[in-house]
Amino acid sequence: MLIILFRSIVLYFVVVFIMRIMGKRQIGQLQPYELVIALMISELAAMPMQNTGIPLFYGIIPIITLLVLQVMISTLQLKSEIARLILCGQPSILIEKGKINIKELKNNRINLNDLLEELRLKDYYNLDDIEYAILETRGQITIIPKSEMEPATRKDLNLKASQNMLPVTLILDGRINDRNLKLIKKDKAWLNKQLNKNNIYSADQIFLALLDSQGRFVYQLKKEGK
Amino acid sequence: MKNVTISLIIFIIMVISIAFSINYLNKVTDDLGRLNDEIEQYITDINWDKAYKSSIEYTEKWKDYSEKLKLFVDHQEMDKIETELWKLIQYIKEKAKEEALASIHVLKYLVDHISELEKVNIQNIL
Repeated sequence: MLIILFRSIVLYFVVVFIMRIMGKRQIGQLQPYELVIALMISELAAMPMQNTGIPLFYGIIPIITLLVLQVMISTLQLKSEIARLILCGQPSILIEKGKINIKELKNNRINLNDLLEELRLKDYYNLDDIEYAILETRGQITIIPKSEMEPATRKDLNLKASQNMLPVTLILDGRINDRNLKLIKKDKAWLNKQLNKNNIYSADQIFLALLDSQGRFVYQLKKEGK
Repeated sequence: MKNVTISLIIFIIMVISIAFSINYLNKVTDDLGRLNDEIEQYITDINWDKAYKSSIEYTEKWKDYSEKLKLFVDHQEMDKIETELWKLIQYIKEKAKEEALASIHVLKYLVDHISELEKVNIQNIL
């Protein structure tokens, strides 16, 4: 029984490592060829995990082979238009210029109720409001509404707003992050000045301090948290 | 590009290790096959002492080899060989010629079978 325990531990780390190498896309929305690989890997890892009669390598070898295939295929489809077309397919336009494309609906085996449901989920209740609806290769539907139905933006309303910046953490649990300080071209003296301004005399007292997206210095003391 | 390199390196290491393991497996099966023939000859010649000595040598070698083989050969196949080996030793000890000959043949087939299973041919792939 202990063998199964150790095998599970080994396989878990192998699969986590492999998934990390496969990249972030593997975890989010999957393309058809990625879905196949994810399904296969879960099955391959589970098989030698429970059956101690099968050498562990019988699971690991196919997993590594699938990893290489996945990496090769994704590199190939990055470089070649034809490969992309074969492996991922093409998006289908389900609604074109406000009219439902019945042929495309049939091709993708999507019935009208499914389409209307998807549209409702995206907050469009009338077919009239939609100029284009595109079924993406990952299975999601993108909607381009008619121009007059698009939500107003700041630009439409002529409102001025400053550009948001990337928030940068400076102190985490009392520890100063030197790398991030360097990144915003400031030093410890500047940080100490900021702390002194707020009547704090040591970074130890701080749980979290950061420069927010507006460039303001915000912080929370350790004793403030429960 | 880093991921591509890492996965390619892992893959190459894996293929090389597979090549080494198959090479080792072939070496083991050749060695055991030779011992099988030897024991068979002793049994047909009714030379029980030598047959017993060789079968003990076989067992020791098998113990040594099986530790490594278990890493990449189906454990069930390995168990079958081990069971047959235990039978063979007793048949030789009791000087049961027919049983010993039958047993050595099965052993021969089983040892060949594990290397046969690793051969790259259409039957094994399908």
